[in-house]
Amino acid sequence: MKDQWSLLENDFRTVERILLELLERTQAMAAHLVDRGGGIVMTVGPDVEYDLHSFASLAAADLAANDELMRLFGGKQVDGVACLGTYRSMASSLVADRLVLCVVFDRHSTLGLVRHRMRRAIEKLDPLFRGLFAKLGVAEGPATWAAGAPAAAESPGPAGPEPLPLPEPLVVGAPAGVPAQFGAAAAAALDDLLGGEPN
Amino acid sequence: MAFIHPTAREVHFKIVYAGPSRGGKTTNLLRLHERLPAEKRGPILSLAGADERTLFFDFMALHLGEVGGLNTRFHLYTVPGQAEHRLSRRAVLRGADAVVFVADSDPPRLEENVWAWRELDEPGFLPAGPEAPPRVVQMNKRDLGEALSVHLIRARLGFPAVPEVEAVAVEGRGVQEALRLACRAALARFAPGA
Repeated sequence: MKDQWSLLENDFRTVERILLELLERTQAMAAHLVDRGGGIVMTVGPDVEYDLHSFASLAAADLAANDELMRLFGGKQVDGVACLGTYRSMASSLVADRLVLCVVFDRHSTLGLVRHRMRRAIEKLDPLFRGLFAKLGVAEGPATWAAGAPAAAESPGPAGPEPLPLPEPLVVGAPAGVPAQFGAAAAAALDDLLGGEPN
Repeated sequence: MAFIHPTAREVHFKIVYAGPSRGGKTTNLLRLHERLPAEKRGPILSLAGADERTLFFDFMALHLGEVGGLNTRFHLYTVPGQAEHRLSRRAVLRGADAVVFVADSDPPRLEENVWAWRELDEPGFLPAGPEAPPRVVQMNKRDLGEALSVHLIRARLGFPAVPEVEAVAVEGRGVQEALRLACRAALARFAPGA
């Protein structure tokens, strides 16, 4: 089972087109595609002033927390989350079990419109990503992994619902695409930054 | 798992600090934030409860800069150590490229170290086999007068050939070294030659 896969340039452009269309039709401020491990995969819209990496980690965590809540209620998984603020709001939805599509919007749009158009966009994105995963032999999502979940080992803390093995997170880009000198150069840069710790 | 942005030429790695509650995971991030140059790190994002203990995770991005043609970032997370936050830990550990296990050298915490270490191998936490992310053990609180011996911690955790760092995180000792080893281990898996 592969745990790494590549989003090729053509696929990337197709996804970008779908997200740009979503923005245009909703008058939303930005759309971000985040992997469930908390990494930002793609963003469209004008430059945002918030830190995208913090955003991605929180958006993924938000969905993960709601997902666990849903399991506590006996459900399978949460499909989407809405976060409503005074000036800005966000709607997020799961794509192909591995990604989270987040749309940030303000008073120029409404949650209903955003959710409606997100569903349309996901109808296009979902098969695209699932096809990509299938083509590359990447593990299937929750529909498969929930069924064969092994039992959890004993632990001293409250166990909560039975832990299910989660799908591997998204990886965009393969090591083959990494410049040959990257490993050594990055290791040297790390040593420069973090070496020589004061005692 | 490491992640490359195809147009921005960015690569991201996820490093997760795990270990028993009150072991010093958040302290590691705080000391790193203090010591790293401002242009190399982002803000600390902390999802803590009313008692300042980590409720979900702490997060900080480390920007290594452009290296070998790729803008390289490490995303540092801590997990909540308390037993009741088991599901949050599982969510945060997902996709880790390397784990820093912060062991507590305080003698009464020995069993909690063992429990936290074993939990990492439970189903749904870290993958096993060749996909298992590398681990670094940071033995924290080495300044305690009656600190557990390194040998004892090593024996009880039962880890084979895992890099170890002795630390006093509250003073910043062993903090950068533990992160450096974890980042290098993550790199080595991703790009030969690291």
